[in-house]
Amino acid sequence: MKDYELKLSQFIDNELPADKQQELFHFLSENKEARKILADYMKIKNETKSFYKEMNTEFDDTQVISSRIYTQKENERKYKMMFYFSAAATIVLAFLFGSSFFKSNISLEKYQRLQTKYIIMQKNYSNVLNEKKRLVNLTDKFVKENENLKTKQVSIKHNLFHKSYSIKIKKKPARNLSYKNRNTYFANIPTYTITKNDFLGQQIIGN
Amino acid sequence: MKKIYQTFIVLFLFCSSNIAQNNKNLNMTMVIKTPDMQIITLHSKLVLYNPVVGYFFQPHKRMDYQESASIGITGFPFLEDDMFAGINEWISQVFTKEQISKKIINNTINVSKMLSFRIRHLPIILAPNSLQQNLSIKYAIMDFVNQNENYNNFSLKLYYKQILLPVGKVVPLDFFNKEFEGYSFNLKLEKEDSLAQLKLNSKDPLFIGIMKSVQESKLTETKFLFRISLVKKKNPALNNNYYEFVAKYEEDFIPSIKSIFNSDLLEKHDLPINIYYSELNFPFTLYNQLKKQLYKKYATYRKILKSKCKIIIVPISLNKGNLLADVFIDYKKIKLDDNIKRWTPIKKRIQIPLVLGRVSINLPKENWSANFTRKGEHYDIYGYSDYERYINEYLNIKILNKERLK
Repeated sequence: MKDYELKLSQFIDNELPADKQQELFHFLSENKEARKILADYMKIKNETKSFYKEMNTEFDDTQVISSRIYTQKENERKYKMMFYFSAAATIVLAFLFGSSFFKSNISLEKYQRLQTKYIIMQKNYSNVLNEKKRLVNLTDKFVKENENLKTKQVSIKHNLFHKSYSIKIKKKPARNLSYKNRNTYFANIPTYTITKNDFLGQQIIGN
Repeated sequence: MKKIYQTFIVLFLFCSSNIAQNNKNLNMTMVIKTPDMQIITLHSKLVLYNPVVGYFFQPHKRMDYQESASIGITGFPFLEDDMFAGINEWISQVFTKEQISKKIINNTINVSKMLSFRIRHLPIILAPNSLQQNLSIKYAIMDFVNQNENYNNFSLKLYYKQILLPVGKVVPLDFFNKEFEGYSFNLKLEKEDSLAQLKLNSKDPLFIGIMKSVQESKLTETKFLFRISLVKKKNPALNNNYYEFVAKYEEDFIPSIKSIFNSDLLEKHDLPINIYYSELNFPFTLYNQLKKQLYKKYATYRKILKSKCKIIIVPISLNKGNLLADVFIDYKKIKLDDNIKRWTPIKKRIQIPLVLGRVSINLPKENWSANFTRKGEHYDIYGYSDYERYINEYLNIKILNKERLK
């Protein structure tokens, strides 16, 4: 860009100071090319002005507002939908979490209750075992005493004949009742044999 | 507010449908195979939260009359939720008071290891795969260290397992298999409506026979629980007059059906009463050793030498402490699928005294033959000389709920 072109542009836009304008006019009177450029600039400015004059730049306020309301409603609906989904998901999760929490609480309580029951049962059981041991010892003692007494009695009797011996009481082997019953049971089971009349249709032979 | 309700209802329906899918009643089948290829099948209904209890004995020597597994009574009351495993001494005291211990003693000393289990079906909330079912298994294993000396000498282990099982697939229970070497425990869950289906042609003598018996039956309401077992023993005439036990194929709580599928009309034939249907599948053994050695090398050997025994029980009447029933047996010794009839179906009328609760049927020795070629491999099997003469077969039927019927 030439130096005077900038001044011309400033002049067109009313931005050139008054003292500089004098100088510019003086320069224009002597320079034909500069005058031509000024004329071009003037023309461009006028054309631009006329173009914007034709253009309708006023907005209808109602249109703007309605469009804004529309987008706002759209957003609200979206947010609502998202809210509903998240609310539903939260409810379901809360329900699942609550039920599992509740269940675990129940099972924990049940476990503790059973544990206590189990400990009591164990104690009872050990008490019963001790009692049983005591009774077994007592019975053994009694049996031994009884045996001794019998032996003494017999020896006293036989002492009269200058003989003595002790008696050994042999335990009878327990009869295997279940085995006997089982044999009887199996012997009584009805057994069927297939006869010719039991074949459906004529018996097939040798095929 | 309306939207909240709607959203919550949708979520609730989603959750409840998911739970509901898992809440359906199921049929549970446990199949136990022993190292010598004997098979025990246990059936049970699996209702949500309701426990199914059962036991299994590993015997020293297999006996035909010994119950080695069952669903029902267990010997370990501490398998219940309320009981905790604790001091061994206490457990042993509880154990010896219970029925299983009595059972062992009554059956003479023949148990080396014992399993007691409790299976509970639990729901899965928001399951990743709704076809899977959640099972909680509590089980105890009692190992009798030296049972010849004393039954109080044992070790006891208690376990808990939580497993997810698919419906309709056979799943091996590795944690049981690990404890019983050589044995295999398989579990299958099925929907309640997918019960065993009996398919028969309307001209089939078996169909005609069953329909006759059904018409004669008066037991429209009564439900029975049957255990059946097919027992094989060596023919005493060829075994120094000694009935040596060979094998047992057992099924507990055999399923009841209320219809027969008519295979020629392709429609269901509804029945007015419950009939009981079981299909025992087990390997066929050739006792002609020369043929056995030869055919064992064949690729088709295992596919063909398989037996299938269909057993149908039609209860007729209950009178004076006896159950009158018709038993239908359709036994195919080997699997040929060539539409040649080799074995005759049987109908036997039996009377089971409820006091004893069981009967035994001696199965006939049929004179059949199978000469065929499969994939270039030729077989010449003569039923009587290669199999029947060596073996005596019995079908035992036991009523498991006899006390309720009295």
